[in-house]
Amino acid sequence: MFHGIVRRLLSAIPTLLIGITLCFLIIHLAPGNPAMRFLNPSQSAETQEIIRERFSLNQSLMVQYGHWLERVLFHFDFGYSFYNGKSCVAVLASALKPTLLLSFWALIFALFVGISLGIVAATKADTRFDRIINSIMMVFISTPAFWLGLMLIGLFTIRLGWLPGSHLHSLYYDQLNGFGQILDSVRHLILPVLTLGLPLAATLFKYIRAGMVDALQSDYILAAKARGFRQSTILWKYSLKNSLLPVVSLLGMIIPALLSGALIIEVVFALPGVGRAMVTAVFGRDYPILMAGVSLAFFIVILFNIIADIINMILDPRIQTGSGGL
Amino acid sequence: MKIFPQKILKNRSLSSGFTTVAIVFLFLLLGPLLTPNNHTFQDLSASLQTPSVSHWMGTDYYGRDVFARLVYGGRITWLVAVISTFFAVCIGTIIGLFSAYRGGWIDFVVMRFVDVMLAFPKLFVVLLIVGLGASSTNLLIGVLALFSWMEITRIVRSEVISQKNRTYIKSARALGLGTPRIIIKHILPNILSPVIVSSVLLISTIILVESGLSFLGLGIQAPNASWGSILNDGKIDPLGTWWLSVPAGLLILTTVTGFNLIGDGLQKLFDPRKSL
Repeated sequence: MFHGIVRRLLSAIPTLLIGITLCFLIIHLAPGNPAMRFLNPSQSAETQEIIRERFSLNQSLMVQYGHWLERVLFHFDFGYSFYNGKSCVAVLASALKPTLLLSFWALIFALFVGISLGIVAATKADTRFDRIINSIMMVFISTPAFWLGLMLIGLFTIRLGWLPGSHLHSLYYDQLNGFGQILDSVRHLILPVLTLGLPLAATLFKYIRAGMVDALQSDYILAAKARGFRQSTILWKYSLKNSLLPVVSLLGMIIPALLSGALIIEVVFALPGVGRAMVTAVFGRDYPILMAGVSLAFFIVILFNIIADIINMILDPRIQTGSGGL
Repeated sequence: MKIFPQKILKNRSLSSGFTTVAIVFLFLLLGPLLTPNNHTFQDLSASLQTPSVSHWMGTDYYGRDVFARLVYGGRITWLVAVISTFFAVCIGTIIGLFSAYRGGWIDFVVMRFVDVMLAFPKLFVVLLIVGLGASSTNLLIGVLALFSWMEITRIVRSEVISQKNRTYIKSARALGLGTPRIIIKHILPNILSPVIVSSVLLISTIILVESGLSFLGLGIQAPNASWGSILNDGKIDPLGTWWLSVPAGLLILTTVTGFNLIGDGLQKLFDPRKSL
C-alpha cells in the first residue's frame, strides 16, 4: 500500500512538469505580443525593444523557460502581472477564495442532492416517479451551466429582484454587522452555487442510482433480506456503502469539472475568482498570470486525482497498480 | 451482435433521442428556406426588435436576424462538434489499437502520455490556445479534437487487450493472416460498439465546450454566430431580450439531450448489463 502511494506520488511529478512545459510553449509561441499593449503604433522600435527587455521577452524561449522554472521551484515566485505589476502569487491567492467557496458549496449541494435523489429513485426503480426524476436529471446533465446561470439571473435578479446576481458581497458589506455579513455572502452565493451544482448533481445522481439499483439486486442484499434485516438497515448499511465506492473514484473527474465549470460561472456572475482572472489574462495576454493560473489548475487536478487513487487503494486493496491502470 | 428493428423501437432513450436530434437537424437543414434574411446583415435602425413577421426571432443589437443566426450558428456548432469528434475518434482509435497491439514499452509510454493529457485542466488549456491563437474555426476544431481523444484510446486499448488473446484471433494468426488484416477485419468490428457509444456522447461534450468558449467570446467570432455567441449577445438582460437568450439555450439543451439519449440508448442496445 505504502509502496503504491509513493509510486503514485512520484508518477505525478513528470505529468505536472510535461503539462506545465507544454503550456509555457503554447503561451509563448502563440501569435501576439504583450508589449504592444503598452505602446501606440507610432512609438519607435527602440521603445518597443525596451519594453520587451523589461519583460524579458527578448530572450530566447529556453532561457525564459529556465528562468521561470528556476524562480518557481526555488523561490515559489511566479513573477509579476504585465498588466498591473502585482505578484502573481498574490493575485491568484486572492482569486482562489471565491473559486474555492463556489466550488466547495456547489460540491456539497451536488453530493446532497445527487445522493439523496439517487437513493430515492433507486428504491422506486422503474416506477413513474423514477422515470420523471431520471428525465429531469437527464435535462440537467445536458444543460449548459452558463445558460442556466443567465436564466437564473434573469428571473431571480432582474425580474423578481430576490437575489443578487453578481459579485461576492454588496457594496455596503463593510457596514453590516456579523450576521448581516454572513447573510449577504449567502445571498450572493445561492445563484452561482445552484448554477454550478445542478448539472453536477445530475451527473452524480446517474452514478448513484445505477450503483444502488445494482446493489439492491445483488445476492448479498437478497441474503440480508432473507435474514430478515430491516429495509432501512439494508438500504443504509449495505447498499449505500457499496454504491458510494464509484463516487469516490469519480472525485478525480468531478474536481476538473468543478474547476472548468467555475471558470465560466465566475464570468457569468462577475465573481473575482481564478477563472475570471484567467479569462481577463487571456484577453490581455498577461503571460505570467496565465502561467501561474494554468500551473495552479494542473496542480489541483493532479492532486485530486492522486487523492482519489489513494482513497480507492485504501477502500479496494486489489487496486495496487498505482497510476492509471485500466 | 444482431439488432432487430423492434428492439430499437422499444428502446425509449434511443428513439426519443433520435427524434430530438432529427428535429434539430431538420431545423438546421431547412432553416434557410424559411427566412429570406441573411445572418450577418446589419440593420442598425432595427436593433433589438421583438419577434415579428419579418424577423421570426427578432433582431440582435446590430439588427441582425436572430432566426437566421440561430440556423447558421447551429450549423457551425454542429459542424465543429461533429468534425472534432470525428478527428478525436480517429486519433483515439489509431493510438489505442497501436498501443494495445504492440504492448510492451510502447504501450507504457503511450498510456503515460494519455495520463498526462487526461490530467490537463481541459477548459483552461483550450481557453489558452483558442484565446491566444489566431481565432479561426479550424483551430477551434483542432484543439477540441486534440483534447478529446484520450477516452476513446482507453476504451479501444482495453477492448483490444481483451480481444487479442481470444481463440478466434489466435486461429486467424495461425491461418497466416497479417496484422493489418487481423486488426481491420477481426478486431475492429468487435470493438466498434463501445467506440460508437462514447463518440456519440463526445459530440454532446464538445457542443457544451464549444458553446461555452463562444459564450466567453473566444470560440466562433463575429460576424459569424454560434449558439454560444448568440447567448452572449443576450446576457445583459436574459429575460428582457428573451429571443436572444432563450431559443439559443434551448437549442443547445435539446441537441445535447438528444445526443446523450442516443448514447445511453445505444449503450443499452449493445450491452444491457453495463448501462447506467
